[in-house]
Amino acid sequence: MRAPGHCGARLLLAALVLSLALAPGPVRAEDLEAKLKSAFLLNFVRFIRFPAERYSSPDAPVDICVLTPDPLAEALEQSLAGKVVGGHPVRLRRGDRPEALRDCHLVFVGSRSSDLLDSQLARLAGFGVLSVHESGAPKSTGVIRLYSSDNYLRFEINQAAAERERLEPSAGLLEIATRIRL
Amino acid sequence: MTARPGALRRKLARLMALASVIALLLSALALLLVAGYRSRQQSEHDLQTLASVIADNSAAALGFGDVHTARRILAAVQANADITLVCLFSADTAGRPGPVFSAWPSNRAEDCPDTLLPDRGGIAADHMRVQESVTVDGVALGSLTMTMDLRSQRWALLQQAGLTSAVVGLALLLTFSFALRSQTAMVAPIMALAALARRVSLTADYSLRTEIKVDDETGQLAEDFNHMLAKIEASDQEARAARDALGAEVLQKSAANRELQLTLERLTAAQEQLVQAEKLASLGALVAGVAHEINTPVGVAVTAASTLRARATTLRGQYSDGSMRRSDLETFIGVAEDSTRMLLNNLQRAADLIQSFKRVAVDQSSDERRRFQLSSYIREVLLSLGPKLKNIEVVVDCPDDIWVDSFPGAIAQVLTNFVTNSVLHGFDDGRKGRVQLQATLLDGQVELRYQDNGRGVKAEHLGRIFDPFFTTKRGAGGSGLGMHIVYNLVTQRLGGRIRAFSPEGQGLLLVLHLPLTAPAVAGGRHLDTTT
Repeated sequence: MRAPGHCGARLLLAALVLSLALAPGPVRAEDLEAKLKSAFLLNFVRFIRFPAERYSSPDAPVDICVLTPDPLAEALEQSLAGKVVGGHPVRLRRGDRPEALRDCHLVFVGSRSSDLLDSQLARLAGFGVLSVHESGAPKSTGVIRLYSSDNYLRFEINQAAAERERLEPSAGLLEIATRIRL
Repeated sequence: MTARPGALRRKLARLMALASVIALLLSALALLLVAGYRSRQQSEHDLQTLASVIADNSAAALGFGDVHTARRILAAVQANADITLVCLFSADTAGRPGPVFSAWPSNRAEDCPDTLLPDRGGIAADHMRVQESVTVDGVALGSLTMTMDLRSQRWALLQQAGLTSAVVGLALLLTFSFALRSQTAMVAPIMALAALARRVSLTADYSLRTEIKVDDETGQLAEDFNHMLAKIEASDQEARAARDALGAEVLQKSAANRELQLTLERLTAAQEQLVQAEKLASLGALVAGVAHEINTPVGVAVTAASTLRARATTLRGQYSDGSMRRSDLETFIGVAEDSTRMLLNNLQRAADLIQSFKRVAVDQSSDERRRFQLSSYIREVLLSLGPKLKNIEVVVDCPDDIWVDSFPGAIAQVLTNFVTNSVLHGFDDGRKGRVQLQATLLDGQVELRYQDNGRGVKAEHLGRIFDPFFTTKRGAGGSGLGMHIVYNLVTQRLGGRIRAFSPEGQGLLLVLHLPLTAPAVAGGRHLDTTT
C-alpha cells in the first residue's frame, strides 16, 4: 500500500481532461463527480481483462450497469453514453436487484448502508462481475472500492476477489491502485 | 653463387607477417564494423523494447491521470544509465506530441522533443531517440519518447577497438616471433641441406649424408637428397672403377708400346747394321771383281814381259858368244814388237779397268750426284760385277743418248743387287742364265727393264719381295734386305717407281721408271745413305 501523492488535484483534473476532454457543456459539482466516476468506470473496463467467454464477439457491447437506486445513475449514463472501450460499445443498464445484473460486465454499487452493501455484493459474487462499490471500509466480496482520500478519488483492488471473479487487472492498473487481498 | 644466409627466412617472415597483418586488420575492421552496427541495432532494439514496456506500464497511469505513478514508472529507466530523457505525452495528433504528461528526469520536461518522429542517429551521433504509442486495446492514450546517450556505447566501442588493436598487435607480435621461430625450424634443415650440397659439390665427397630427420616435406626432401647422393656415390664409384681399370689398361698398353718401341729401335739398329754389312759385302764383291778382271791383262802382260825378257836373255847370250845371227836379231825384234804391243794393250786395259772400278767404287760408297751417260755406266757396273756373271750371259740394250742427272752410286747398287738377287735365287741350281737389261726413253722418263730367265718368284712371295728381311734363303746367306734397299733407293733417292713381275716359267721381271733428273733433295734419313 502506498500513500496518495501530493498532487491528487492534478490527477483529478488530468483524468477529466484526458477522459472527457470532448465532453461539452457547463460543469456542475454533481456532473463533475459523475464524469470523474464514469471515467474511472470506463478505465476499469479498459484496464481489466474479462474472461473471453464474457464477450460473444470482438465488437459485442460491454454492459456497464448501475444498481439502483443511485443518485448518480442519471449522470453516469449521460457521461458514458456512446463510449466505446476496446472495440466494445458501452451499453448501459439499470437494475434494483443484484440478481438481475449478474450478466453485466461491470456493476456500479453506489454508496449505501454497510449491511445492504454486503448483501448486494455477496449476491453479485461468483458471476464474473466487476463490482465497483463506494464504502468507507474494504469489503471482501467487492472487487474494486472507490473512496475519497484528502479530496482525491482513489480506488483499491481486492486481488482475491478479482481472482475469484476471473478478472485480470493490468499491471498498470495495479500500479495505480491500492492493492488489498481479503 | 652464394645465397645470402637467412634471405629466404626473412622473405618468408615478411610474407607471413604481411599476410597476418592484412588478415588481422581486415577481420578486426570487419569485427568492429559488425560490432558497432550490432551494438547500435541492439541498443535501438533494447531502447524500443524498454520504451514499449514503459509505455505499456504507464498506460494506466496516463488513463487515470496519475502523474505520480507515471513519474515513478518513468523513473524505472534510471536503471539504464544511458537513457537521458523519457517523455510521456498525454495524447498525440498526426505525429505531433500533445502536452507533456510526465517526464524523466522530471526537471527536464522542457527538453522533451516537439516531434514524435524517431531519431535513429547517425554514425557519429551521440544520441538516439525512439517513440512508442501508449495504447490500450488499440486506443491511443498518448505517446512516449525515449532518448539514449550513445557516448558510453561509443566509448565501449572505442574500447573494443582499442582492445582489438591490442589483440591484433599482440597477435602480430606472437605471429612474427612464432613465424621467425617456426621458420628457423623450417629453414634450418633446408639451409643444412644447401650447406651439405655445397660441401658435396666442393669436395666431390658423395659419401656425405644429411642427418635431418623431420616429419614433413623437408624431411622428404632430405631423404630424397640422401637417396640422390647414394645414387651419385654408386655411379661415381663405378666411374672411378672404370677409370682405374682404363688407367691400368692404358698403363699396360703403354708398357707394351714401350716394349714395341724398344723392339723397333733394336730392329732398326739391326737393320742399319745389316745394311752396312750388305754395303761392305757389295764392296767386297767389287774388290773381287776388280781382282778378277785385272788378273787377265796383268797376267798377259807378265807373260809378255817374261817372254820378252827370256828372248832378251837368249839374245844377250848369243851376242856374247858371237853366235848371234842376223835372223836371231830379226826374230827378237819381231818378238819384242809383239810383246811390247801386248804389254801396252793389256796394261792399258788394266788401267782402264782400275779407272772404271775406282769410279764405281767411289760412286757406290758416296752420295755424289752428277750427270752421266746411262749406257756406259751400266756397262762399267756390269764390268765390276764380272766374277758374279761368269756363268751368265748379259745382254744390254741401252741407247747411248740417254743422259741422266742422278745418283750413280744408287743405280750401281740397284743393278748390283739385281744381279746378286738373280745369282742367289734365280740361278741357284747352277743353270746357265741369261740376264737382259733394256733401257728406253718413255715420256721423259727412263724405263729400265731387268729380266732374268731364272726360276722366278712364287706368286705368294711376289707381293712381299720388297719387304725388309723377307727372304727364302735365310739359312743360305740371304739377309732379306737386298730388294728392300732397292725399293728404298728407287722410290726415294732416285724418285722413281719399281714393280716386280714373275710370269710362270719366265723368271723375274723388274720394271723401273726413273726420272731423267732425280729429286733435288733426298728426303730424310735412308737406309742406303749411310756409309
